[in-house]
Parts: sequence; C-alpha cells; structure tokens
Amino acid sequence: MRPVTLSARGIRKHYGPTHALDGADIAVHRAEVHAILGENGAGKSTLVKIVSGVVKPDDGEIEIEGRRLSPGSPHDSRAAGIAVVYQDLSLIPQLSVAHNLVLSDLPLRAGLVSLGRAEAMAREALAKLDLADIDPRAPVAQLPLDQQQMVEIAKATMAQPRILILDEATSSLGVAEVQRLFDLVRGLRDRGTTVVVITHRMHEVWALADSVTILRDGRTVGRFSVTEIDQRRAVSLMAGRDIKAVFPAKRTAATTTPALDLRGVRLRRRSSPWDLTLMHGEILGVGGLQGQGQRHFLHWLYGAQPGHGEVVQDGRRLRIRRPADALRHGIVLIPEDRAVEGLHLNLPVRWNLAMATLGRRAWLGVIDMRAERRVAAAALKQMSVKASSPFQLVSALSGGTQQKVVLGKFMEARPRVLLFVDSTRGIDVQTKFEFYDLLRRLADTGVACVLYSSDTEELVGLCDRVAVFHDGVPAMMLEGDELTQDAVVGASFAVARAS
Amino acid sequence: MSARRGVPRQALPWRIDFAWQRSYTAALLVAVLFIAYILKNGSFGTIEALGISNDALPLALAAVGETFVILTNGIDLSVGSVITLANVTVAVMADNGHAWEGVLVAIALGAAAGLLNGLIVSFARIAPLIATLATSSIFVGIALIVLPNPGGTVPGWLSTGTAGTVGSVPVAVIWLTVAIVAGWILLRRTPFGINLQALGGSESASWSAGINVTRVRILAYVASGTCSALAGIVLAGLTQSGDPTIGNVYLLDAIAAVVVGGTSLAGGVGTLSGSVLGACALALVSAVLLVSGLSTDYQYIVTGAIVIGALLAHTLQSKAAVRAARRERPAEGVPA
Repeated sequence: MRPVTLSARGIRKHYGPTHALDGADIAVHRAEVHAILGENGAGKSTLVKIVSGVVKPDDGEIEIEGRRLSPGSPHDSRAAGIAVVYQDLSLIPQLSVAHNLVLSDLPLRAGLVSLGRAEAMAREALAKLDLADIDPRAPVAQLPLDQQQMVEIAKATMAQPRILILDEATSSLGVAEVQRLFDLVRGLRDRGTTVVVITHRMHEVWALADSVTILRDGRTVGRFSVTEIDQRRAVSLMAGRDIKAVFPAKRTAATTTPALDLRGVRLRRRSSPWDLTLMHGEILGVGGLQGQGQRHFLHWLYGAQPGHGEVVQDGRRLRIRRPADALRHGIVLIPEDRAVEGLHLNLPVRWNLAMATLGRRAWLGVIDMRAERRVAAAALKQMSVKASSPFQLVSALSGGTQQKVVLGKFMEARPRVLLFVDSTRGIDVQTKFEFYDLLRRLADTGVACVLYSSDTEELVGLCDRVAVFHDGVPAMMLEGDELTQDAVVGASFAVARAS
Repeated sequence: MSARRGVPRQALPWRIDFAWQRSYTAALLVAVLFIAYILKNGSFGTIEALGISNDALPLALAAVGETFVILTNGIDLSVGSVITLANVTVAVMADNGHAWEGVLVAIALGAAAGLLNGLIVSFARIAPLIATLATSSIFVGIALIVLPNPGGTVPGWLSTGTAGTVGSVPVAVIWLTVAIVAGWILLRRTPFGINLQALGGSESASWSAGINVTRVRILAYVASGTCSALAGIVLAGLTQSGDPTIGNVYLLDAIAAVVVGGTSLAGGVGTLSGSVLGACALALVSAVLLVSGLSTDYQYIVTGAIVIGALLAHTLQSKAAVRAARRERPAEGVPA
C-alpha cells in the first residue's frame, strides 16, 4: 500500500444554519488517482476549497505528507504542493498561452518581463505534458475549449504540485478530448503526482480512478477501491437510498409520424446536402467528436445560426430565420448555458416561467396576473420544481432545478419539437435521472426531442436513435441493438477516420 | 487514443499580438490625415508641426491615463477635472514664485486624486462611472476655489519645455515619441502592465493566479490621475496661464482617442501607444479642417464619425482574426 499523502479528518463547515461539511474524512495515497463522488450539495466543492485554503473550516485537520496545514491559508496549501483546476476556466482569454502559464511568476530580466524566457518556460511545460501542439504564442481566446482545458492543467502543473485537484474538468469536453485528458492525468500519476478528481460522469470514475471517496450530506460514507464497488452501489450510497439510476424505458412502437422533415441540409458551404426526419414521440440523440457541427445543427434549426436546407412541417415549408420564427412553429431550444441564455437569474421563478408566453395572457398590453399564477403553478407541478415559493429567485435554486425552470418556461408555449444542447452538463446524478424521466414523458405526449450531449452514456441510455456527426453531417445513424456505448464511441472515431 | 492536430501556425510573432494589431487603425488614420493635411496646406514645416503636436500632447497624456483605467474594465470620468486642478495649481503657485514646487504639487495632487478614485472603487465598491463622476465634481470645485477666473503666470522654462523646439523639432513631438515607446514597454514588458491586462481580461482568474488585484486596480487610477496632472501642467506651459475651465473638453476627447487607438471598452485588450496615436489623429482632424477653411465646429461631427468608424474597423478586424484562427483548424477533434 502506498503511503497516504493527503489526509483530512473531521472537517466541518457551516454556512448559517446549513452544514456544508459535517465531519468529512478523506485519505488519498501517493501517486494514485482518487475520485470524490457525491450529489450536488454533498460538500465536494467545499472540501476542495478547504484543502486548497480558499475556505477556512470550522473544525478538523488536514495533513500533507504528515505535516499539518494551517487552515484557511491558500499560501500554505500552495506551498505544501496543492494545485487546483476549477470548473470555470481560470485563464485570461486576451493573453497568450505563455502569459497565462507564467502569470503567477513572471520571469524578469533587468526589471522587465522577458518574453523569450516566458515562451521557453511555456514550451517546456507543454512539452512535458505531451501538449507540444499547443502554440504558446496563441491568444487563449483563439484556442478550442478542450485545448483551453489542457492549458488550464498545464498552468496548474507549473508549480510542480504534489497533489493536483481537478474539479469537474471534463464537463466541457467531448469524447476524444476526455480521452486525451485521461492520458494526461495517467501520465502525471505515473510520474508521481497524486490526482484528485471530482466528476458527475460516473463511468469516468471507473475508467480513470484507482479509488473513490463517497460523500453524502457533508459526511464521508466510505472510501473504496474501484474494484470493490460498482456504479449502482456507488449511486445508492451517494443518495443514501436505492435510487432509480436507470434510464426510462425507450419507445416500443416504431414511430411513423414525422414531426419535421429536413431536406438538403448543408451547415457548411463545402459539405454535401443531407436529409433527416424527426419523428413525433422520439428522442433523437446527436453525438460524435466535439465540434463536428452538432451545436450548429440545433442552433440552425432554431434560427440562431446560418445554414441551408428546407424544414418541412405537415407538408408546409417553414421559413426560420430567427428564433422567433422557430418558436412560432413550436420549435424550442433549451440552451446549455442556462445562466446566460435561458434564465433571468435575479428574477423570481414565476416571472421566469411566464417570460416566454407573456403575450398570451395580456389584454391591451396588461398581463392577467391570475392566469399567470395558474400557469406558473401548473408548470412548477408538472416539472416537480423544488422551489420554496413561486417568488423565490432563480439564482437561489440548484443547477438541476434551474434547468427544470428553463424547460417549464417553454412548456407553456406547447412545443412540438424540443432541442436540447448539452442540458445535463454539471447536474448531479439524481436530478439527471429525474430530468431523463421528464424528457421521456414529454416525448410520450408526442413531442419530438433532439438531444445533443457530450455524455455517451446518456445518449445510449436515453435516446431512441443516435446520429453520429462528422464535419457538420450526420454520418452514421445508430438505433435499436446497435446503440451501445462502444458503438457510439467507435462510430465517432470511425466516421472521422473514414473521411 | 489521443487526437493529434497539426501544430497551429501563428503567422505573426507574438509581440505583434492581437492587442497590438488593433492600433493599426489609428496609425493608418494618422498617416491618411497627415497626407491630407500636407496636400491641403501645400507645405509642412516647424510651424505646422508645432501647431499639431502642441494640440496632440495634452490629449495624448489624458488618453494614456484613461487607457490604464479602461484596461481594467473601469472608466475614469475625472480626467478633465484633474487636468483643470493641476493646471490652476501650477498657475497659482508659479504666480507666487513657486514654479518648481507648483509642478511637483500638481503631480502629487493628480496622483492623490487617482488614489482617492482607486480607493473608492476598490473598497467602497462603487461603480467607477459613478465614483469618478462624483470625485470629478469635487476636483472641479477645488480648482474653482483655487483660481476662480483665468489668470496666473507661468515661467518661461515651462513654456520652452512644452511649446518650444529642439532644432526644428517641436519638444511636444519628442514627448509624444517618448510616450509611445514608454507606453509600449510599460504595458508589454513590465509585470504591472501584464497584470493590468490580466485584470481587465478576467478578475477572478487574475485573483486565482495570485495577482494582487486591488493593488493593480488602484495603481491604474493613480497612473490615470498622474497622467492627467501632466496634461494640465503641459497646458499651463502652452497657454502660459491657468484656466479653471480648461479641462472640460478633454474627458470625451480622451475617451474618443482611447477608442480610436484600439483599446476595448470591455477591458483587457488595448495599447497605450494606440491611445497616443488616437490623440494625434484627433489633433490632425482639427488641423485638416482648419487648413480646409472649415469652421472648427465641424470638428465635433468629424470626430464622432471617426470614433464610430474606428469601432467598426476594430470589430471587423477581430472577426477576421477569429475567422483566420478557425481556418487554421479546419476540422476540430479529428485525429490526423
């Protein structure tokens, strides 16, 4: 057994009356990949913040290699060799990769910053992580998201940390990028770095980690080697009860009524046109490697991004040039960044729910408040939104609940086609499965759902058909028995290689 | 398996980076206006150079100061008032026989005014727009008490140091050149300059990188106040007197020069040298109008049009840069 490098015992932290952590323990061995699992609110993030010194615990002690850390000191944690990669990218988009990597410790020569040495340091750090294909001189804003994530990790390794903590580092990555990140993490581990990962994607834990700690309600439920516990058991330990971590039953009868006929679609100028039919009552998955035009496809259908092709509904050709046109025809897009695109965070739940359909309850421009109350109450019930009152501010709700409010906001518009863009990103397991049930119930009422997801497990478990995209074209369609996780991942790479 | 991409080629050396490119618009504008001026005027000598550079210098100083603050994603509306305050301070103290001390006191007052702005913005957490609007009113009030009516006298050496010539080159041209070079070094090669851009790019990221965000922000306001004070002192030298209304026109012109110079009002992207060029462009606009026989009243219309045109040019330029970056990666995520 390797020696313990990071141990935290009896960590407590409360914010007002709520206990974020109530006696959490964690022990991580040297040069292993350790995962921390727990539902939203289980205290994972708080634990990471306490270990990194950003938050001061009320009680408990942390030891690194047997030496006690002074609590609440980011400086002491850093000096002890802890580096954290947070969920939100902490790079400065306007500056170059090299600037970002050396920002904490600018190399000086005669009082001036030496750009040559900064570049050399950056090159060396990137090469060490097998990331030599990233140009240290490129502005971060011009890199694709996955490369930004890699730069983020490179930045964290600049100080040669003993323990690297990744907080939801894969939530913005696609299949190929996740693989690359895993390679990178394994490489770091093999060279002696201890890595702690926090993720909501269960299968990643079993693919990457050596051991897990499961947290529930601020307490440690247990520490396991990944070989002695399976996914189902982990989920029930996280929830504290046997929760239904199974996907809702798929549609049995083959659907025959088309909701939308897409003809001669071309998202990119040089690609050849393709056709696709969305059926009433089905959930169509959209997958493939990241950046293959999946987002573009959904945004085009919603009139938010340019593209060519006919959209035919009930034999009529629709002219969708902006989201307002799409909404009029019952085509609704649930955006991925609910905080930015989907919700008004500082307004109450009820107003958010009413926002999309205000005109329907207005008479001479004055809103019928009684109708609004009815509509909001119905939506809250239908979506089983956990809000203390219809006037609670949306910003006070959890991520998963916010996602339900976005959905509820558009339900009143009676959608015929629902487009989801990576909607479950960063949502905890329990809420995720509630969301899946909701989606299936919507589909069963005849709504055609299209779901773009970077989570393969979700595509396979939830969808009736999955279109694997490559270069803006649905290059392969998987359904029925062919629809397995291996098939989707395989197809993602195969269609890419075939071209 | 790991996806390997072709190494993205960065066509330009990084010193000529994104922010630097944005000042090209201002440089081009200066060149075009300069040629227009020579064509209209028929000749260009020391007299003409003096007229234009003396016009440009105080504006350039104010614009450089404003750039520091705009880079942090803030705004300093007290630029004009600090110019006035420094201007009347020099005039009044010189009138009483303390010219040198007057210059030093004026600079110290400018720095103190900036410090006050920085402290209010950082610790009272008042939005820069409101905070500096309020302090601006205070500074103007003080200036009016110090010197209620235009007057005072300024010693000859201050005039020579601002409005004079070295050989046939105006001193102001030398100062403008110094400002361009110093601005470049300060922003690209000193920790303060890089931290300034980092702060404007993302405050939380800068904080987590260990940058003392509060100190950098306060220093930006101090730099702004100091630059405005220098502008006020230069104006005292040029006009050889003090005037409690002299700074009024400089606030909006300074912001216009910053924008023309390619600094983003959203913070994080920009150059001090661009702002100097922007100030030169605006000075050339009035010079060209003057030799064309048009009233300087037209200046406001032309300046407004140039600001909008420059903003459009910057937008198109950044879009083109993003497109170029995309073209280098035709198929993301594809194993090569």
